[in-house]
Amino acid sequence: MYLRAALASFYARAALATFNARAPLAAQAQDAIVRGRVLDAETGAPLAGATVLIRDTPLSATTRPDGGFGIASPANGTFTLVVVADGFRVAERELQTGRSGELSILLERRLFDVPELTVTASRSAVRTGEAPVSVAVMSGDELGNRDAVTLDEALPFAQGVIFNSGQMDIRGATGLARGVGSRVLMLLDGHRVLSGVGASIDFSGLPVLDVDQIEIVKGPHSTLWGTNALGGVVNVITKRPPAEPETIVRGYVGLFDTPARHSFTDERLSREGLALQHSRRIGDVGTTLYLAREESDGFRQNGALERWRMRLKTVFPAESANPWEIFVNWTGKEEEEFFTWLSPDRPLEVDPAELGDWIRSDDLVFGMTANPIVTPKHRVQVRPHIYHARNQNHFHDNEDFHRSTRLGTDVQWSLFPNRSHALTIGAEGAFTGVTSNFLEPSPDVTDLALFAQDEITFSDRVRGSVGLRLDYHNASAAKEDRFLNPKLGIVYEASDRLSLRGSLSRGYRAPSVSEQFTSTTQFGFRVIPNLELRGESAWAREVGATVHVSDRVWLDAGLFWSDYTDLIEPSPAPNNVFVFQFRNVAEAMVRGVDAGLRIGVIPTRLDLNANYTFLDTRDDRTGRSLPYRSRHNFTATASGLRGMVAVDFRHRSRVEQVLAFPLDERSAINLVDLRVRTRILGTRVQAKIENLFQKTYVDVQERSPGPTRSFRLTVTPRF
Amino acid sequence: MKKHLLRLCVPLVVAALVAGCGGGDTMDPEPPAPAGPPDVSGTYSLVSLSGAITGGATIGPPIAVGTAMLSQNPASGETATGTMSMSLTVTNPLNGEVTEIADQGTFTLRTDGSWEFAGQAQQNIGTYTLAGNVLSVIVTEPPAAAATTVWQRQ
Repeated sequence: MYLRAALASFYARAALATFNARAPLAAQAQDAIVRGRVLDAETGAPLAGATVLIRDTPLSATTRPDGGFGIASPANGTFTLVVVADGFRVAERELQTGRSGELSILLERRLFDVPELTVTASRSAVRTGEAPVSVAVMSGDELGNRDAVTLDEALPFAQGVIFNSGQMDIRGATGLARGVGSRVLMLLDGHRVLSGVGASIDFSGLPVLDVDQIEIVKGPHSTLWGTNALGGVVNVITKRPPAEPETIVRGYVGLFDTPARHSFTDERLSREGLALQHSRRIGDVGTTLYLAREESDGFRQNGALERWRMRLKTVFPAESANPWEIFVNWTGKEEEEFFTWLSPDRPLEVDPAELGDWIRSDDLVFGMTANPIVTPKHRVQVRPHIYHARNQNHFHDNEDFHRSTRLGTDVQWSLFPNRSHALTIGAEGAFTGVTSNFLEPSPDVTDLALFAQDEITFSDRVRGSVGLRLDYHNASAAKEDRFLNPKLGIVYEASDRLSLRGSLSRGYRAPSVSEQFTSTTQFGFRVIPNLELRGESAWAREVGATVHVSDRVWLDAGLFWSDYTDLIEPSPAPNNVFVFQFRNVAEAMVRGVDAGLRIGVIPTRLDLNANYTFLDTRDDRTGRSLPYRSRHNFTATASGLRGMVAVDFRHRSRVEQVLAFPLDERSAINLVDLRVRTRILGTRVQAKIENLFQKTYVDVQERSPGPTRSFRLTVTPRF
Repeated sequence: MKKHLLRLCVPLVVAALVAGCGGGDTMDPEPPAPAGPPDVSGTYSLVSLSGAITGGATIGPPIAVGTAMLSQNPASGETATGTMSMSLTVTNPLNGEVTEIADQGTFTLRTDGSWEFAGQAQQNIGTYTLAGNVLSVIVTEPPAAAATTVWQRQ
């Protein structure tokens, strides 16, 4: 829904009126109302919630429950009406101003969802086929079909995405950074949501039930999004509160099936969760409130978890194409710590000394999106955010803690001088304050940035993009960092079915606070701060194509090549004895192929969704592959009967290099999950078996066992 | 957080300590016995340690003091295995901080000079030479743990 509204701004390059639905300016540029109904071509049923747009204007409307709509039309000449609805092909109609009568627009069902729009690739809505970068999209519906409790359960099935022991990687940029310094930038409705100390992603803090879609922009993308966008950018875009009040209750219970040979307890390990989400509109204000509590024993010893989540999102005016939005997310967790297995024969157990080690963490995120100025040729958007995190270890050997607060905002000015150019100019600033007992000196961090981008329409089929961003990173007492990140991209829509793209871009990641300032002694080893630590960066090239081979086959593929400089790793400190610190030590190359295929094998009865990422990596120091990467990474989902039954398959070839335990046995990972879904008295009922064949495996990180077979039953009534 | 950070550091540090890299240039390596790897069984004391973890310097007693006990099984063809336990105490000359390391596990020797050690806390791969009673171990993998350790059999 949000995207469809955002598409309005995309078509508004020659805008005639204001974007604000409440403002009267729109009426000044139009003199008629186009009325019509949007229907399912197959069944004739009305389609509610479809978005109706007029191309090259900001004019838009959403269909009512009866499929009807009324939209103001431009004052003069012909115009193009565009209708977008989830699960249906986009429909376009050429119309003449002043026409009378009610339109009837029939939408044909698509056999499968394919990426349609992105607001992340260029900071404004574009069709993915017009973006000169690779974009994968996962819809909110797919999250629901996959029965994801947290996003990291579903994201491994997105094209180009790989997970290493719970840490997200895009196209091999990240091996295993042990939870610090993510090379993937996570956004929530365009707001940065990386923790202030570790710059890491907490998937449990991201919404699930009100997700519209998740966009994954692959490759370095710092030109628009700054630090951490080294491997890619993930933007979780949430829905607006619907017009009618809606309540969703989601409850689940699950069991972990421990293999007899690895059993460590007589108790049945289980998990359960209950979530409640209510949305309604009061006047012009739409609100969504989400509360959830989850509890799990975990599949391994010392793996218990108790988690509370709260989310509030408010949109005003709810019907506007450019509303103001505010959200607040809070996640509180008490989580036991599984450090490493006891032995290969007892992989699900920990060292007895570590039993009872646990961590308390709280994350509070606030974000606001304001559109104070919107005219036919200008749009100013301001996005302030706050991220407060508290983390306290309760370990047998330490009580470490840290607290961080990140305050920041970005300001974006979009200009549409003519139909050939769409300019974006912006600035970003953030301040992070940290207190901790293991960071020295207790740092303050300032990040500033200026960026500019021009999207150029050369012709109906050729578009280009050029951009530049200057980032400044200053952590107190440490060396300042400045990075210039340019990009150049071009896309050629050879036909309605074929789109070709190419790009050259640079990405960077500033060192995280924990990498730069950790000062501690543990296990007898000293770790000292590195005030000389610089950011790491990458140059990336890519060519790719998206092909609608036929109505039943869709293919997207990209060839990519990235050269990384100054990669940060823990290393011995020079001129010291038995002392470690994080240092810029590695130069590396990552190249490969990333492909996605959707096939409607038997229309409406059997769909196939497959993704493959081939990685060829080289650590320039050693000439070997980069650690924790698999050459072949493959996922597939076969779903039948409109998703009522689905089988998921994951394969990754043996990790060629590891850092700590090279003699440990390593093997390929092959996992199968099974899902079924039905509806009983209006309630969605889902059952899921993960790791169906009870594979025992190391989850990329040495001595870290992968999850055992588990069963889950989820019930989701919706009122 | 701190514990997460050190997940990587700890095994690398210990790996560098238990074995070592390069060096040994004052010793003539003893050719492996034709029947299999040489018998390295015995109790050793640390002679020197060098590598990135020593800041590139070569250190030995009194800064670094250590002992190692190796017990080798009869060779099988070109390969011999055994058990090894070691302890090491290193005093940082800059600030006097003391680091104590201990580990035990199994080692594998081959007549081609290759060395593997699989301990409880760490693993390493490299090469070895035995010249008289002087055992030199060169660790090449994990790369970040590359170091040289020279031991004197008592």
